[in-house]
Amino acid sequence: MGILKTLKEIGQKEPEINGLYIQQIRFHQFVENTRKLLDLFDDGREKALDEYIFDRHYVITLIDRVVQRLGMMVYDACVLVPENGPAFYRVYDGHVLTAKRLVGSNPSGQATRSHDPAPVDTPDAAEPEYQLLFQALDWFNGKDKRLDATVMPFMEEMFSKVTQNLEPLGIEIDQNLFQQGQLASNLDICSQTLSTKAHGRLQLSTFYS
Amino acid sequence: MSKPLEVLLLDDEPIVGRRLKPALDKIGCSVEVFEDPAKAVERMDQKAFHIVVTDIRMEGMDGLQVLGHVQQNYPQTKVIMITGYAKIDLAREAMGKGVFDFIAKPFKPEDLRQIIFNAAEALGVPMACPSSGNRPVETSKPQGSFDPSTR
Repeated sequence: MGILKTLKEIGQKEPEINGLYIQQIRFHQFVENTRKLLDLFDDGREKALDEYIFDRHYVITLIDRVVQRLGMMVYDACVLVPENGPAFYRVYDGHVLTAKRLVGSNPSGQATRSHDPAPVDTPDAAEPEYQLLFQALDWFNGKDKRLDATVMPFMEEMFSKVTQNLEPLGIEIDQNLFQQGQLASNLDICSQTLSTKAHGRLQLSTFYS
Repeated sequence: MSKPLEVLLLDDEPIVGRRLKPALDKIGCSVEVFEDPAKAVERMDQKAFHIVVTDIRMEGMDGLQVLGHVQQNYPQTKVIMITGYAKIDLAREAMGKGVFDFIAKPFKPEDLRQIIFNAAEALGVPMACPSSGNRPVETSKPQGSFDPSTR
């Protein structure tokens, strides 16, 4: 019997396993996109704190990539927790607007958003490109923890909703994982846990069929 | 005492010149900074430079045109290209046209200092080692080493 036929039969017998597998693949994407976003934040921080030579184009590209990757993360979250989709997209649209305002800020670095951070007290803050980068970093993960103000709390919120949604499937993921410094390595554990559970269920199903 | 390495730095983003000039001055280079390619070319025709460091993408005249001008008129001058974010295709084109080396933004001043040091070595011009303060390093002087003042 061909593998496709076997899978089809299993799928007919156990539709929830298919669903679990789809969730597992999507969750893997969700984790991957979260990790990529954190990498982008780290890249920006490294350029700001070390004595790098960069131009405005670098910062604008960084902001664009964050918006794009955040959009992918929101899409994944909406597949995993469809009932939260409209709320997620509402917040995401707010972040897209913030990004547009940052990119559209004038060359002197004066952003036009209403909750601009206080000027950063560093020797390089006088450079407009550095000002823009610091403003972008503040938008990524600044002190303002409102979902629509900074990206990190929004990511944390999506992560929380997604993992809560996995609990009925018997998969429990520690909500405190979304803490800076611990997150990157623990994201692997989350993805592997779900993968193992899904794989285990398929094996059991095959065994009993 | 050895003459300083004459460097022309051309980038239409002011931050590049502002931040690179002190970093290159520190290793004993004499740096002139330009944001306008036309003015930079005009200056090249007045004064000889060991090294031209130029951005690849600029308004009016791009880095490849600057490279062409240098190669046609001052073939001994080494050209180093600064490429913008993810412009590797253009950088490859520049390498094919005989640019000495290229460096992609964002980069650290130390990375460019190393390339400048290599270019100086290729020209047979002694200069401070990029990672050891201002101590001049004697480089192996190739035949016909380039002195812009004799141009």
